[in-house]
Amino acid sequence: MTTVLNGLTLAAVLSLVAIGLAVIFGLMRVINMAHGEMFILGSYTVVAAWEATGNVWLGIALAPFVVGAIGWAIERTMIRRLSGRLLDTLVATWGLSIVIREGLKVVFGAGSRNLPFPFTGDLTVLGTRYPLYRLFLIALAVVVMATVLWVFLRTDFGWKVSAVTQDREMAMAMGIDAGRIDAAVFALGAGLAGLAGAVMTPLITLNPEVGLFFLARSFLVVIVGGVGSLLGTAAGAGLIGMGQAALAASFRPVIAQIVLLVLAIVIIRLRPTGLFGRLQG
Amino acid sequence: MLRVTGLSGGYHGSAVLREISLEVEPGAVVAVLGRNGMGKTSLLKAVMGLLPWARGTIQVSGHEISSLPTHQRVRSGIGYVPQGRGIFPRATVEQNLRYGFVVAGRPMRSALPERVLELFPWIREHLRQPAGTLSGGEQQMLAIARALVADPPLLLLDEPTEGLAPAVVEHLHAAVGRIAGSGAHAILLVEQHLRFALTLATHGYVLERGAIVVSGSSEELQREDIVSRYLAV
Repeated sequence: MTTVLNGLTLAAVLSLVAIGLAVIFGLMRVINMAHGEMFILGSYTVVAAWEATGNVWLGIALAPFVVGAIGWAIERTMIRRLSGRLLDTLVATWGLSIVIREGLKVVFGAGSRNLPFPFTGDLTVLGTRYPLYRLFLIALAVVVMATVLWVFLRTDFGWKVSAVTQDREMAMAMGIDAGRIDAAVFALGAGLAGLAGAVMTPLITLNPEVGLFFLARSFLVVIVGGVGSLLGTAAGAGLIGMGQAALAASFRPVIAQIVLLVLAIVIIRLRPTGLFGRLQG
Repeated sequence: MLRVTGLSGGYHGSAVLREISLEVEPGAVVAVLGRNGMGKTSLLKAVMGLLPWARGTIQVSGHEISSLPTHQRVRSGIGYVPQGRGIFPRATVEQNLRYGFVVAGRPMRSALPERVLELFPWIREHLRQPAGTLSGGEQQMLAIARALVADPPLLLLDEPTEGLAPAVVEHLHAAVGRIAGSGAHAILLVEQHLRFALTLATHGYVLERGAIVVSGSSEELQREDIVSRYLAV
């Protein structure tokens, strides 16, 4: 039971990180190699707020907006100038990820740190005692993901994103400001990754390098779930999160990693477009 | 309604439009004719701001739009039906129509205008269908219906008959005729299908290698020498 809940926790966090990666790729054909750094910037927002005020909640509340604003600025200054050039954006965002990582080392130091939980305590769930904060994290992710899905599927903004994703020129010809949609989606994706990083801060040993772990896992989620499918991203996060937790409970970490990657490769071999992927690319 | 003066434009390093000037009066139907690759589609794209480069002036209802980005140009009152129809395939028929509200700045959940549904009554029964599963003719009519949702005074139609069966072309002809007959929309119609275009339009321009070589009334453009020289395939 603890394994299931551990899997859910990881799945919850991964879904928040991966959704931005998936939507940004679907909309702009940009593979954001700095997406792991959006996560880590969320964590360091919490660190900065905690060091300034001693309050962990403040940082968690601020993180999505701070990182969202950073994402918006990245889109406006860098991504926009490279639009439609997959390889160039890949290299540029990879370079940016290095700049952000090293910048964080300069500001906060390269060492690791652990932050206190904003609250402690356990709750008995289905016969297992489980930390309350992790349960809060799962609930928060479910609410946020449901909201994100609602925004993308039911609001005018979401419909406009869908139009630009399907046919950018025609969307502009319908009066949609595609550039503004790009910036908004990039900010949203970054903000969600920042939120994930913020709520994960007390659970991880934080240093500027941990973003890479979440970036790699998120790629796996997006590929397994199916590129360009919101539902697939959620399902992929569930699968990778649960798989990782189950394997970690049974094997040594290194073996668990290998088994997880092999499983992902098998899934992609059997379903090249991912679990929920569309057949037409 | 539409006044284009000295419009040149093209892709990177090459010009496909050369000093084009043309005019469409309010409520009129004007045809742009010419063989394949003569710049007809590029002309509409230049008006829409979808060519990599263009210079010259473009006025819609007296507003100069040539320096505006595409999404602002259409707010001056342009409905655009591109070559290939530009339907959003994963959206439903209804959603496709609702995108027509964006240009008017109205919520996409507004009530669909009756005048559009009356023009193509079959749409009512297919509102929930994914637009990508419609036939080519249905997609063409949906694209026209979508462009009319915001009631634009100017409609740009790019080869609406392309790839359609003769019976469907007849149906489309009647529909475009009704739109023109309402007098509410001026239409700039790009076509290779001569009879389709010249029975709907009162005037036309013939493009060759990106420049206007002949212009005149529909009767004049059907003269044997013009057709064989510029238009016959």
